[in-house]
Amino acid sequence: MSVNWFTVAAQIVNFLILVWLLKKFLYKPVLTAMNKRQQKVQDELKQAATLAKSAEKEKKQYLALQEEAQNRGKEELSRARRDADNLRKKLFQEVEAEAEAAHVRWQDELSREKARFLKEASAQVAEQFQHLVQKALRDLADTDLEENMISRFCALIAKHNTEADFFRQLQNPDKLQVSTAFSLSKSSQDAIREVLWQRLGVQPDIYFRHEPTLIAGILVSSNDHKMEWNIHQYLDNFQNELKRFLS
Amino acid sequence: MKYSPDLYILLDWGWGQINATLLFTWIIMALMVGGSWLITRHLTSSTTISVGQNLLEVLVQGMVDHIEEITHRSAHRFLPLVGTLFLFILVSNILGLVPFFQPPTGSLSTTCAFALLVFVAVPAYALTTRTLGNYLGEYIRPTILMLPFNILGEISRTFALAVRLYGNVMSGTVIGIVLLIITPLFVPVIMQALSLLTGVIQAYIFALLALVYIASAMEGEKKDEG
Repeated sequence: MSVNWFTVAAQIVNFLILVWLLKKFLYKPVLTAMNKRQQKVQDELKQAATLAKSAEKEKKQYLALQEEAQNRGKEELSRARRDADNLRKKLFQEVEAEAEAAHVRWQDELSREKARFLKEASAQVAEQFQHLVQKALRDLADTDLEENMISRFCALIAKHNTEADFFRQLQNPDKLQVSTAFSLSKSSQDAIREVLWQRLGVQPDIYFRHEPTLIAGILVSSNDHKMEWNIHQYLDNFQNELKRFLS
Repeated sequence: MKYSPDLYILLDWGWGQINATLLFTWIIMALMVGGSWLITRHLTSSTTISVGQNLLEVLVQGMVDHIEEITHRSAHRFLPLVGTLFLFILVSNILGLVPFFQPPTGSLSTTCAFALLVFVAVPAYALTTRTLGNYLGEYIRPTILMLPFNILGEISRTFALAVRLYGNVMSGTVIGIVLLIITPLFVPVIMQALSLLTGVIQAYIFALLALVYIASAMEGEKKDEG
């Protein structure tokens, strides 16, 4: 066991050279590469953290937008519901009003129909009643209704307390028209003319006219004035009774 | 039988000799530097790296971590010396398995050279953190009577460092040769495997002790500060 001092010195030099070479070709490049990679990883981690923050921020923004959209959607839905409700109410009111108007129209129509029916029924009843009375009087009492009516008319006119207003209003008329539902005989016309002249105190021209629309009775008219003597009063009473019965 | 590569003289100039120790040292240096150059010339900082780069990075990072764990300081100023000591001794001891290869660490001249380097490196590193007076003051603490013992301890631990490595490697080589002569089959293989283990451990021990000596010499700074 001996030491070769030349070898010792050479080995020291060799080792120092090796240290320098390894520092140049091993330690420095490897450590530099590792440091670069570490730096790169740190940068990437920082970038990832930044991206994560950004993503989190965008997520929050997205959630806020989503919430806003949901709220807006709810508001729109609520508004649409309100509008629909209002429209429904409006349409319902319109339908109600229309139904009410239709009901009123129907009621009016019904009233008119009722009135027309009553009028027609009254006229029909009066006409039938007249025929019935005429026939009954003729068959049972051998008397004529028209003739009796004329006689009665003349008798009533002759009394000064009957139709006083009408005759007062006439005041010397130029002419008079006498309408009847039936044709008058010459004697009946003369009787009527005579009694009217007596009552008026003057002798205006008197014309006789056959008016089939009149139901049993006599109509005396002059200009704007007229006097009816017929069964209308009875028909009015009959109509009122019929109305009460129908309602 | 020549148990030391120093004894294989290749060139002799009278004042100096080129022996097998130097030759194998140069071969090892060439292998280490050449291998490092081949691998590190294509180094990349990307996450996809070659097997060679991965191996070197594991090796260097392992040494850096170990140094920092022991010294509690940045490994960069210790790595060239301690790391080269470890790698050279490791490669030398591993190549001892190659037939006809004489590991330079089986030469007392080589281990003495390394021990001397450590011996010089200890105060050199210590003076980077401490004053000369402070460092030398360590030798007379707790009393000046301790000076000869401290100097003796410093020399003896350097000598022990050299002899430990030399003895282990040389003995492994000698035992291998002896066993080849006595029982040429099987048994030498087992012994060679054991010597490989011993060689790796010795490389680690030598580098670790060198690092501990340097680190403890530098630690005085903390004591002063305390």
